[in-house]
Amino acid sequence: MTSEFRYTNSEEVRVWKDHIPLKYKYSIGVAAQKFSSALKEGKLLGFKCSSCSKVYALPLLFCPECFKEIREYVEIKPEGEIYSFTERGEEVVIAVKFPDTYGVLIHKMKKPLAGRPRIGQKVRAVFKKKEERSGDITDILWFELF
Amino acid sequence: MTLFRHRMLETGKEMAFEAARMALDSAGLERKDVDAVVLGSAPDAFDGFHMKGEQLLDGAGGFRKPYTRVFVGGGTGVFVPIAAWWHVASGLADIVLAVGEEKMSPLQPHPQYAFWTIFDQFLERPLGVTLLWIFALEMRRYMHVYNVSEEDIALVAVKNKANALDHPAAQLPARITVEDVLKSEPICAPVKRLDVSPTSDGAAAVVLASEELARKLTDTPVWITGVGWNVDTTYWTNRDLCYPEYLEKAARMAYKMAHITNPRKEIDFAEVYDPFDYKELHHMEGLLLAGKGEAPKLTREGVTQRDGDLPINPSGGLLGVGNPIAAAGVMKVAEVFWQLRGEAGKRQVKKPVNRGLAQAWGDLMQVGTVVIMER
Amino acid sequence: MGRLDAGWHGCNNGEVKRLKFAGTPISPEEWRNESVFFKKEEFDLKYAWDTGYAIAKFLEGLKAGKILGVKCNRCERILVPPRMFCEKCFRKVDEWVTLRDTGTVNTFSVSYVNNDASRREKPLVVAVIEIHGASPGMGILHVLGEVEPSRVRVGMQVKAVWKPENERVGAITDIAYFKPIEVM
Repeated sequence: MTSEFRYTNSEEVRVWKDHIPLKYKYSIGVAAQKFSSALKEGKLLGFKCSSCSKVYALPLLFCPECFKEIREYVEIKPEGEIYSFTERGEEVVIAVKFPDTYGVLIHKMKKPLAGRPRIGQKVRAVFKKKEERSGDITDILWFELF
Repeated sequence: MTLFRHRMLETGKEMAFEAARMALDSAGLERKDVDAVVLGSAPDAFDGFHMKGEQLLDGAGGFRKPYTRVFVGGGTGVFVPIAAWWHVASGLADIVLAVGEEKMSPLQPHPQYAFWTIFDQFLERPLGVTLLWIFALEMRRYMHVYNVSEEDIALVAVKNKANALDHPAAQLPARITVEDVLKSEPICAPVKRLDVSPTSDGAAAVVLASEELARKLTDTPVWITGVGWNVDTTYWTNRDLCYPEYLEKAARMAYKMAHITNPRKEIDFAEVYDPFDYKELHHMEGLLLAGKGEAPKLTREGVTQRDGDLPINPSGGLLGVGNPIAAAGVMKVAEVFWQLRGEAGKRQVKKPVNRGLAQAWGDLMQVGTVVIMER
Repeated sequence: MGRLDAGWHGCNNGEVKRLKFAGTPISPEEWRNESVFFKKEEFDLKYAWDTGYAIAKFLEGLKAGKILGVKCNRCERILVPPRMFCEKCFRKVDEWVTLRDTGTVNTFSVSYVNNDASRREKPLVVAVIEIHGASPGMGILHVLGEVEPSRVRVGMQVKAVWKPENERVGAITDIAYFKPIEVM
């Protein structure tokens, strides 16, 4: 038994507009407290799993693979190489691989670029001035070729 | 489980890890022994990650494993073990890690605001609806239909907060009186401040194993003998809120599986979802542990105390221990587990227990999730 | 299939492992002074929701000063808020019905807080109102006005107070509130 209901004309199909404002204040976590303190001091901290010996350039309370608490910290020299990159106009986003570290760090290259970026190029982090640092990833201003 | 607190330093991933790690440690297992992982967490709006399941994956031990996120609002906490049960019952997995996590504290100015986003955007949100409205409307209806007083309801808050004094992870344990509850600040009449559970950060986890493995790993396993779940229509204004039909259906589904015909006699104790004090009564009736409108009488007579004939919420419930939405239900399952093994310490109920029930509820007064556990 | 386990405590040598509850609570001072690291963020999610056929017509009805419902001929329920399909019979509904703009209070509450938990200046009386003309129990959510909160009762008869025609836009707020009508 067919019903009479069907979409008739566009006047009756209506749109309701509204918004959902959301405001957040995140606790960055236990592991990230150490990571952010290190950034404030102009350092990059690596988190080392004592089970598998992987060093992560990420704040991690536990190794996702071994599922054990991480209690060893290693200072990572902020010099690595371009693992991959993408360009959008003037902006170049890069994935940086540090030696003996598992995974990559996402960041940006210094503008304007001196020449085209290439995979494998050596880059190093440039930090903000000490008094301008807040513990955020943006304490690293950008990466530059060297 | 982790502590349940209003705000914790740990991120969602870190809390999930602490709970999952503790569960694995208590079972003497490693992550590599786990065949599948199920995680439950409630509305993404609380912590602004709109793929929350995946965001929590590493903390739940799900890295490169068959991983599922389930969600039925507040019912999630008991639904997580049910979904984990499917994995084992189907023969798909032998060991499943079931994790419930909630981080409510990041949303400003108050986590309650996230609930606004679950209401109908055309007909309800423009009225400025808050989550408290639906509880208050349901409480009023229940009181009206069954002639229940606010004093009767307050007895539940008094009982549960006192029970929580013996729970090491509890957020709001307290010794209060009925008068304290009645005098507390009205938030959304008839709901007053001491009638409500807090918003919380926390996580809890359990490990499920197949029969063969369970017997190898321990001398005293706890068995899941019944599961049930049921969800009602989202047109909540078309239902009479005085009785949770959907919970009765979920309960019957679980009772049938567990071969229970007289729940009041055959269930020794229960952890019943209590985000508000009146809900414990509402749910006791939906679970057929009391006749319609009779739960207040059982409470008044002390039947639901730890030394009573049908202890309800010996843990202290959500009112006392805290309410990190998806983790709260898992906390209840953990409590039934500990009680059945005699490991609940000062919270241990007086009578010997063989069979317990954990229940959760959620969404727009919609879902009932039930798990029956036995020695 | 056999019975299934719900977890266990494995210590075959009899030693009981201590259960430790982890977690680092943040004190109100640490929260206020931000003496630990926090990250703040704001989103403003903007939506343009298609109302769908049923709600579109319902809103048009409100603009015209009418409360509309739909009828499912199989279960013979008259439904409000209207929907394209009957959720019980799982088939398309059959016809539109104009309902009365009066109703019975099924339940109510007096709210002292806003949806962000801040305190209201004046309390708001909210209710589920069973609309006359629809099947029993068919309620809609709305607010009550022109009534003392302490005098509201379950079972009270109420009537919609409409905004003036030129202020109606096709929204649930075209009804400003429901007010009590005198019982004959």
